[in-house]
Amino acid sequence: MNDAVVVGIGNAYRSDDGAGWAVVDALQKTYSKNVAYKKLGGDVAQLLDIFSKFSIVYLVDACCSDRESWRRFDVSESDLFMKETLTSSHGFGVSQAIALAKNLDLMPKKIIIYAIFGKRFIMGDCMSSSVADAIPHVVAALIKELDICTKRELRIT
Amino acid sequence: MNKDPSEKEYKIKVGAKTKTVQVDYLARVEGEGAFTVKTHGNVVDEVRLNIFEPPRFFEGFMQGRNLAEAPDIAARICGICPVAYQISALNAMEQALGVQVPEYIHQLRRLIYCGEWIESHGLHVYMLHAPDFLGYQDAILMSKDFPEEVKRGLRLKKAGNELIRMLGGREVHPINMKVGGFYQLPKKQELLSLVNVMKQALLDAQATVRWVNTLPFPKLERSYEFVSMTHPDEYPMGRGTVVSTSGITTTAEEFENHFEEYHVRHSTALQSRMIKKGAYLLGPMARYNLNGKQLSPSARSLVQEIGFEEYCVNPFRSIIIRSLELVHACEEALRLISCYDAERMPAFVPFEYKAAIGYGLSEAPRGLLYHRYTVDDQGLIVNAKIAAPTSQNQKTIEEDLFDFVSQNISLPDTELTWRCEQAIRNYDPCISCSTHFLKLQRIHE
Repeated sequence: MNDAVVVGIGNAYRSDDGAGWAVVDALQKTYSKNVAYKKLGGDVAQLLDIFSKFSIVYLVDACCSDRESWRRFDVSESDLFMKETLTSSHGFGVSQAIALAKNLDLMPKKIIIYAIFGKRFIMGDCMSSSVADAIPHVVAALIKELDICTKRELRIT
Repeated sequence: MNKDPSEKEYKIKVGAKTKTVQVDYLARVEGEGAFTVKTHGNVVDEVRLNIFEPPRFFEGFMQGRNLAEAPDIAARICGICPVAYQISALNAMEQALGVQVPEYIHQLRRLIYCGEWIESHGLHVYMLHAPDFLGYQDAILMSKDFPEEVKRGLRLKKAGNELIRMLGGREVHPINMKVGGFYQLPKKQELLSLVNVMKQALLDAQATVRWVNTLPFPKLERSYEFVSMTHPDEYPMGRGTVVSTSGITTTAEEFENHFEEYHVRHSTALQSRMIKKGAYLLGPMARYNLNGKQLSPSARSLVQEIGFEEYCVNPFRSIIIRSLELVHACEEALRLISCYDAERMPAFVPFEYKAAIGYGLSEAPRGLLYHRYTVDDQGLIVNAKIAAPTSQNQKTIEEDLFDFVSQNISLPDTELTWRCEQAIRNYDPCISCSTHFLKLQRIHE
C-alpha cells in the first residue's frame, strides 16, 4: 500500500461541483511531497480501487448545503456514511463507495472528507463566491494535515 | 398523434379486487420513470410505464453542426453506453459519405464495444438486477452477504472500463473514434497489457453465469417479436442487418419502413412498434434467440453446462443471457487483442463532404440503436433521428407488466410491486438517473 492520496471529486463544468478539482489543482502546484493526486467524477469502482491502494485517502468534494464554507469529516469517527443506500448507477457516489468498502473489507486506514458547501450545481464553470472563497482555506488545511501526515510517515520509515 | 392500435389487448380478467399499483419513482434503472397498474373489478384496465424525464433535444441541437461532431455529441446521451451511440453515428455518417473502413478498424471498434458490454452488463447484473432476485433493497445490502460476488461485479466493470480507456482515451464518453476510423491507433504492446485483466474478466464472467443460473426466477413466458442485428460471421455488435422472429430481414436504410415511433401521453420518450404488428423486444434476449449459435466457444459451452434453453421467452431469465454475453465479450476481446497487428496502418480513411442521408445501427448493451442523419454538401447536419433501445422496448415492458400482474394479482402489494420493478429491470432500462424510493398506492373501490 502507498501512503496518502488527495482525490478531488466533481465536475469542473458544473459550477460549484468543480470545487474538488480546483483544490487538487491548487494543491498540486504548491505541495509535491510524497502525495498522490487524483481527479474523479465520483465513480464508485474507481474510488474502491483507490481505497485499496492507499492507506490514507483525503476526499475533497462539493456538497449541497445551506451552510457556508467547508467542513472536515473523519469517516472512521462517524457512521454517517453507512446510512446511505444504493439507488442506481447514477446514484453511486462517495457515501455508497464507503459503505461498500466497509462491507467488502476494502477500507484504507483513514478516510478524511473535506466537504465544501456549494449552492449552485448548474451547467457552467463559474463557482459561487462562498465556494471560491473556501478553496484556499481547504488547501491550507490540507497542506497542514499532509505535513503532519508526511512527517509521521518519515518517522515510521 | 398516433393512437396505439393494441390498447384493447389490455382488457383481461384477473380477479374480483379493484386496485391501482403505482410506483412513482422507479429505482435501479438509468433514469427517471414510474409505473402504474390499474385494475377495475376483475379487469386490468391499464399499465403505464411513465417516463417523465424532460426531453433532451439531442437531435435538435445536432442540426447545423459539422457531421464529424455527431459521434461525440451523440455519445453524451449516455454515460453507460456512449460507445453504442458513437458506433451507430459513425456507421450512419460513413454510409452517407460512402466511406468503407478497413477490417482492422471494424475489429478495433468491436474491441471497444466489448469493453462497453462488459462494463454495462457487469454493472447491471451485479449492482442493479441481482438484488431483486435475492431479496435485497440494493447492492450495498447484498454485499454484506455476497461480498465475493459484488467484488466480482466491480472487477468486471473495471475491466470493461480499462478496455474503453485504452482505446477511447477515457472510460466515460471516450474521444478517440472519428468518422473514417480512429484519431490514433493503439500499440500492440498497449493492448497486450490488458490480457491478464481480460483473462481474469473471462473467469469472472464464467463464474457469473454459473451464479446467476442458481437464482430463483419468477414465472412469466410470453410470445415475443424479437428484433436484433445479425451478421454471417459474428455475434451482432457493430455491424450487420436486422432480423426478427416473424421473418423480417432488413437493413439500416429500410429500418423505418418496418418500425415506427409514436407518442403516448404518459411518456416523454417516444414508443415504438413494428408497423402493423405492435410491440417488439430488443436486447440480450433478442440477440441470443436470433443469433445464439454465434456466441463464443466458452459461452456456448456454458449454455450446455447449465442446460440453458436455446430459445428463451422468460424475461426474468435474461440475466443469464446478459451474463453469457459477458463471457462472449471477454473472450472476444481476448481474441481481438491477440489478432491485432495494425499499429502501423492508417488510423482513418479520409472522406469528402457530400449531400446525403446516412443510416446507422449497432447493438447497444440494451439492444438495437438506430441513427439517421441528413447532411449537406458542406458537411453540416440538416436533421437527425435517434431511436434508443429503451424507448423501443417501452411497449413490450408495459405488456410484460400487464401479463405479470394479470397472473399474480393475488400477491401482497409489496411483493407485487417488487416483482413489477424486477420485471422492468429485466430490460436494463436506460432512462438515466434514478433514485430508490417507492410509493405504492393501492386503491380499493
